[in-house]
Amino acid sequence: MSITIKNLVKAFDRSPVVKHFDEVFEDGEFITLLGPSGCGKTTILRMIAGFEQPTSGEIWIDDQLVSSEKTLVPPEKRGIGMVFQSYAVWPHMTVYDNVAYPLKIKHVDKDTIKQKVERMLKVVHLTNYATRLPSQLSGGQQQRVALARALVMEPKLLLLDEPLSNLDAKLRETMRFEIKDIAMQMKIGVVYVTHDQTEAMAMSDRIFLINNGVVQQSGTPEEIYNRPVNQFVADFLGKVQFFKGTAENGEVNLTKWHCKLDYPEMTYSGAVEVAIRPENISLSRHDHGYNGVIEKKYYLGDTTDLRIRVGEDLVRVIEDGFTYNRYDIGDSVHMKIHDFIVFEDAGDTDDQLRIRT
Amino acid sequence: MRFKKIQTSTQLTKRIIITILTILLIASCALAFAGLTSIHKIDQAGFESSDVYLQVRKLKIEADTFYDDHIAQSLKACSSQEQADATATAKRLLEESWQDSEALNDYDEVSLWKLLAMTYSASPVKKITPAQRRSIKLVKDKDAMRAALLKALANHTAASDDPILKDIEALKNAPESMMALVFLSSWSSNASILDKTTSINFIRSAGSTEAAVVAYKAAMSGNISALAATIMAHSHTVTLISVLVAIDSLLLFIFMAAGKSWKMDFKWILILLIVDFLLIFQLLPLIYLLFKAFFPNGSFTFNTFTRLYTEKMNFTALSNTVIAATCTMILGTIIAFPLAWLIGRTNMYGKKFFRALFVLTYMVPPYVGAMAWLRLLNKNVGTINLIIRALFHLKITEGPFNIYSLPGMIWVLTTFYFPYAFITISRAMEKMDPSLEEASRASGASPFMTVMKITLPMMTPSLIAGALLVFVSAASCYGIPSIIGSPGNVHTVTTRIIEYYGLGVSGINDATGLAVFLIVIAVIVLYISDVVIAKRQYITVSGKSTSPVIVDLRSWRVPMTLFVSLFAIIAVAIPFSTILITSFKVDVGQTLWTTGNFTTKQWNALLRGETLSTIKNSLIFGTLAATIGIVIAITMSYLLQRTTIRGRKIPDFLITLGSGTPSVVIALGLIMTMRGQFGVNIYNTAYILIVAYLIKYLMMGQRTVVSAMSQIHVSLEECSQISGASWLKTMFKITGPLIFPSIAAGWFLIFIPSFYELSMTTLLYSTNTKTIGFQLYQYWTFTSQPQACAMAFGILMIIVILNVLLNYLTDGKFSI
Amino acid sequence: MKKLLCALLGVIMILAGCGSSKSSGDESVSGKVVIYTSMYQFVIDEMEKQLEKEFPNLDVEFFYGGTGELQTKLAGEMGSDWKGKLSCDMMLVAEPAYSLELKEHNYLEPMEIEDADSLLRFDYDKDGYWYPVRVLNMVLAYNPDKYKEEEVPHSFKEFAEDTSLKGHISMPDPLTSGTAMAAAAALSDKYGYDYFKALGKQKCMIESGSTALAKLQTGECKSIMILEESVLKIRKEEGSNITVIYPDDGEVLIPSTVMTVAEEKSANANLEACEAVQKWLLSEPGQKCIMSGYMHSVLAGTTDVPYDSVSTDDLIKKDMGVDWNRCYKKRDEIRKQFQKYVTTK
Repeated sequence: MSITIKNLVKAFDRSPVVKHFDEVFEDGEFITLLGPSGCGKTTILRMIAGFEQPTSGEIWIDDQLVSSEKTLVPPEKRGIGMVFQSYAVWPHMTVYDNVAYPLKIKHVDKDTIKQKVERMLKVVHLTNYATRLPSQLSGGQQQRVALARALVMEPKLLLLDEPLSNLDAKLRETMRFEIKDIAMQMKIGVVYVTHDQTEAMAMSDRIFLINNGVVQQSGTPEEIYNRPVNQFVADFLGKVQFFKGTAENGEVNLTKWHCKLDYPEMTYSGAVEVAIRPENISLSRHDHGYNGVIEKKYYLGDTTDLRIRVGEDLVRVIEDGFTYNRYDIGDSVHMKIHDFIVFEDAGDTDDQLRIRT
Repeated sequence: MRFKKIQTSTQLTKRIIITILTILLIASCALAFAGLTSIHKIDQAGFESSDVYLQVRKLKIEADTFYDDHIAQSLKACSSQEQADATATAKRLLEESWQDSEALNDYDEVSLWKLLAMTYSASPVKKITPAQRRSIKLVKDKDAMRAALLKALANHTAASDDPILKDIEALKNAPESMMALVFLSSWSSNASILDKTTSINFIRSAGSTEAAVVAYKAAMSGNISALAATIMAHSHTVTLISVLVAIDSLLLFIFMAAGKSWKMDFKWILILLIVDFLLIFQLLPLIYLLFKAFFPNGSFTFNTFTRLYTEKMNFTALSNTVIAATCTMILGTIIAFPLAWLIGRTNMYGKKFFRALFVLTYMVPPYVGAMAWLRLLNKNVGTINLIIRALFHLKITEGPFNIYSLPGMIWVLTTFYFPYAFITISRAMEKMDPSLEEASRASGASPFMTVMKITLPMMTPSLIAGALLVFVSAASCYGIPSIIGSPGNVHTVTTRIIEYYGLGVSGINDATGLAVFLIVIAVIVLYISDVVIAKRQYITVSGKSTSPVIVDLRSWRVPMTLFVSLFAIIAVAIPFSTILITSFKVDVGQTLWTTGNFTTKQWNALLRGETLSTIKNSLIFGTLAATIGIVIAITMSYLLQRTTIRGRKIPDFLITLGSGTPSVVIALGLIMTMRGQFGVNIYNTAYILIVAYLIKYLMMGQRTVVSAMSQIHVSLEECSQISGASWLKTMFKITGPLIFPSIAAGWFLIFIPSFYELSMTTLLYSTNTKTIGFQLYQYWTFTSQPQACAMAFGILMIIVILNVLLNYLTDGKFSI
Repeated sequence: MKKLLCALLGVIMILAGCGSSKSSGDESVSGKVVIYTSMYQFVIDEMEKQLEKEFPNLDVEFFYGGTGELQTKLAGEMGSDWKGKLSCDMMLVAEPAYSLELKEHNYLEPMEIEDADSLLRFDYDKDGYWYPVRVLNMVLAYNPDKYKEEEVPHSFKEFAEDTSLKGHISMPDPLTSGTAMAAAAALSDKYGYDYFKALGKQKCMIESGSTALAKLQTGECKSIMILEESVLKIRKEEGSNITVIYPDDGEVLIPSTVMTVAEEKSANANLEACEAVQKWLLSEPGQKCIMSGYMHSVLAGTTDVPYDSVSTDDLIKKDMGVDWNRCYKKRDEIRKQFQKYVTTK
């Protein structure tokens, strides 16, 4: 099942929530709509599901027009499975009945229902809970019921609306991979909505980063992470620090650091903003680059998070865990910058043009 | 160091409070016991009222003075033999009066004369007529007269034998009792022996001669102290107050122990006040009525009930009531649910309009709607019947519909009471988490399937709650059965109760006996609803503020709108327009278009000053009742939902009891207990009206607030508490605003019926507290139908305007 | 000149003196009196006004209620054991059967009236416990706009026996209305309980007078049993054409009573004032008020009648008559019989 979305716009009472969306999701792709709260990602998802109607634009499933200003194929006719943020597991039915519901609607015979439901429960590891009521289940278990229910009718497409946001950290991680595995096993396309960028990066084939109703960038996790097209994207994914500077003749001058970065391919000259990810800075005692003084250090087990004082700035550096014991607070260190991204400094983060990276 | 200090001070406070409470408990129990004993004593002695000992003490004091000042002097003027003889005569006269010879042997001369003075002074039978008074006045030398009288009494001579006495008209052929009477009253100017007021008050309290005698004896033996007399005088009040104090201290102890905090918290005081209020005004009248029904002559008997319930007519009435209430409940819910769904969840046309429309039937008194339906569907010349006959060329002279029947009554009851279910279901529907329905749609179910398999089962608790409200209200309704049922000989428990009251005093117990049936029903219903609903109460308020998915009806949009319109026309528009049209007629029998039959006279009459003052009264009483009621509702909801104290359901139980009791029974109970016997006298004031309204209508507001509060998570309030806010502040700033729409709706649900209430008002009103419902009743019974219709429509308009106004002023937050 | 002025002054003063002495009523009557009554509000208003003039120092408070409501209220005040104190001092409500009941339970105060025999043309209690103060009249009524005079019954007997009237007649409920009870007693006295049987067969509807009047207007009912006063009222105030039919077999006259509450059970124990008020009620101005309320006067020799009615003395001649003792004592039996034949389906 492929989803084609053309010039999608959605406004509630004249204020636009989705300003423009024009994409194609291929069959079997794992797509994530990523962005901060209120950016419009849930609205797009609900339009794909059929719960909202576009103000203008079209949505096609395979070669059938399902949503437009004038048409709206109802959700029950789209053959799409959906998992809600609040799980929406029906409290008056047992786990078995919840999962069996979509099949019962289609008047599938009892035996087939039993077979399919049991299989699904196995997939989500809830076989022993078939007769329980949702009130007797934990959050994670309820979420898995919702998942099983959405999958039992073997849809071609699965929509998930922030399904893991109510779970604790460890469970979130486990479920993340489970969902991805199931999707791959069953060869189902997924459109996944979340504001957690780690989740997005771990699971997606492609990520659409949305802000204020407009897609900022779309691409594979690696693309978006390493080659953000503007400050918003750079900032949203991973950690990043911005420094002002000037560009001139293939060199970038970081104003406050009094350091120069070589950037031979750059043709632009003028004010720039340089984005540096903390993991792209390494420390050493030897004179590699620019120096500063360690002001704080935090031990995170697998990494060490440090703050280096350079003039007025406090630069963030992330090194491996062993680094923690190698340096003390107050030590003078040298930093080497391995990678950076340069943006034209036009003031407003949202409309930055990418230059080159 | 610091912690230790706090501990000891809390320990100390705890001990102090426990001690105080225990003392209060013991003291109040003792007082209650004393009060009960006094009541029993007074009953046994056959006294009219309990202040008899106080009165007789007063009388005795006067008698003492009277003796010292007057009788003693006169006696001294006689010889000792004469004294003894006269006293003997006095004793005999006393025996005649008392009809008791034994007890007088113990009294000495002084006491006998005092007793005689008291007895004759307070005797309603022995009086000196004005004519006789005049003849006595003519006597110049009173002392001589008195001496002569004493002599005559001593020697048993007739008055005619004495030179002084024979001229006195009053003594001609007078018996000795008369001579004694004249003697005793000779000192006063108005022929009363002791002070008239004291005497009257005494005989009123004592009642019968036998009782008076008992009182005299008690007074003379002198062992009733002033304190005991006071307790006895107010024995009912003392018992009531001490029982209340006992209950309060016990409750306070329970509250504090449960909450493990020994400080006085405002909320405990509030809860105690409310519990006291309910105990005094709700429970006391009811217990009093029940007591009288079960113990008509002082001994327990089931007789009343067996006799009542086996009488054929009563039995039929019982079954009619149950059938009617059940059918109304089912029909009302069947109607209300689809309407609520169509209006709340789909994209049919004119949703807001219909929502407001369907609530309208709640805003007029039930019998107004009944009158309209009577006009439309009576089997002889009902408008609708006539139309049908014409349309289908039927040659019948009766029917096809006859509203004077059980189905007819059920129909009118349904059109009037279904808004209860409609409102409850609508509100629950709005609050339901929409993703539950969306998940069903995403699973492939059509909107209809979703309603049947998901929405309906999830709404069951609210459905049941709404249905039971309808049931209880329909069962205790009087107006509709009396207008629609009685002419067709369909009797219900409420109409039978009124018929028993038609017997006056002898009917009270029977009426109460029947009312017990309704009360029991209300209790059973409450129990069912609590048990069933509690099991399946789902917290369904979603954290996000998404609005529910609107089902697109597409090709069904117009037909569904038409369907709803059809129902609206039948249930609302037709009866209301009938009322409106009638209000402009001169002669109900002619159509509006007949020349000369249109008039605004009735509407003009509404603008009279008298009407305006009744409107003012109704507004004030309704507002007071609603506001007090909602405060009670909120506090009780808190008690129910947020504490785990045992017995917290009891106030709720009492409140539901009130709604299930027929209005007349409530009013009568209040009349019988609130005229001062128990220390509370609010008879003929505005307060008794407000209390009556509260008892009857509190439940509606209570249930609304309770269900709203149950859907707010307690963490919201806990957060406020952590921030340092007191309970009161949390209520005002957090809980209140969150459940404000329900508070507003609950307020209206109490205000509206209080505004136009009729049955209780006719019994409890006084000259200054005439309400609009009462005026409507006057118009309806004594003026004309058109006038009553104008008034009814006027009431409707006032309520609608009020609703709109409040809605506007609070930006749409405060309305039904 | 001076003499003229003095004379003028003198005349003025005399006139003023005359005027003021005329306008002052009986000031010796004082205190408060509470009266429960079921008379129309406008009659009460008029009475209040006149009583205020007549007894300027007396605070008269009228309390209005329908007869049924008042009796229920009084019952509540008396308590189910006949012991309670009342909140009124006088009652102008209901009919002699009720007075008999109250007398039996010691709730009334005997009041003397001079020459009651020659003053009143209706029965009164010889011991002075109650007197008639206004006369109600149970008659038949029909609507000439809807039915012709020949079509409607002209006697109570016809009312119950003419089968063409089946389902088209109405009467008030004896179980809740004292006047209806009186009529039922009178009719069952005259015709036996077969009368009720006949009424039952006629499917007579049982409801309040005002509802029945409206049914006459719409034509739903052909004939109704109703108090004359209601018909006279609607004729005068609304110009209605509804007409009274004075039954051939006699109408039922119901002399509603005035009762004074026993002193020890009354609200204000003001017997003197009660006596004065009662006297006024049984005098011409009092009876004039009564007649303005569409009721007949109880005073012998009065030829005035309420609006549009017929001579009271003629009515007395044709009166079917009610045995008030029987009405009171046999109350339960009459109720049972009525229920059995008329109000049970």
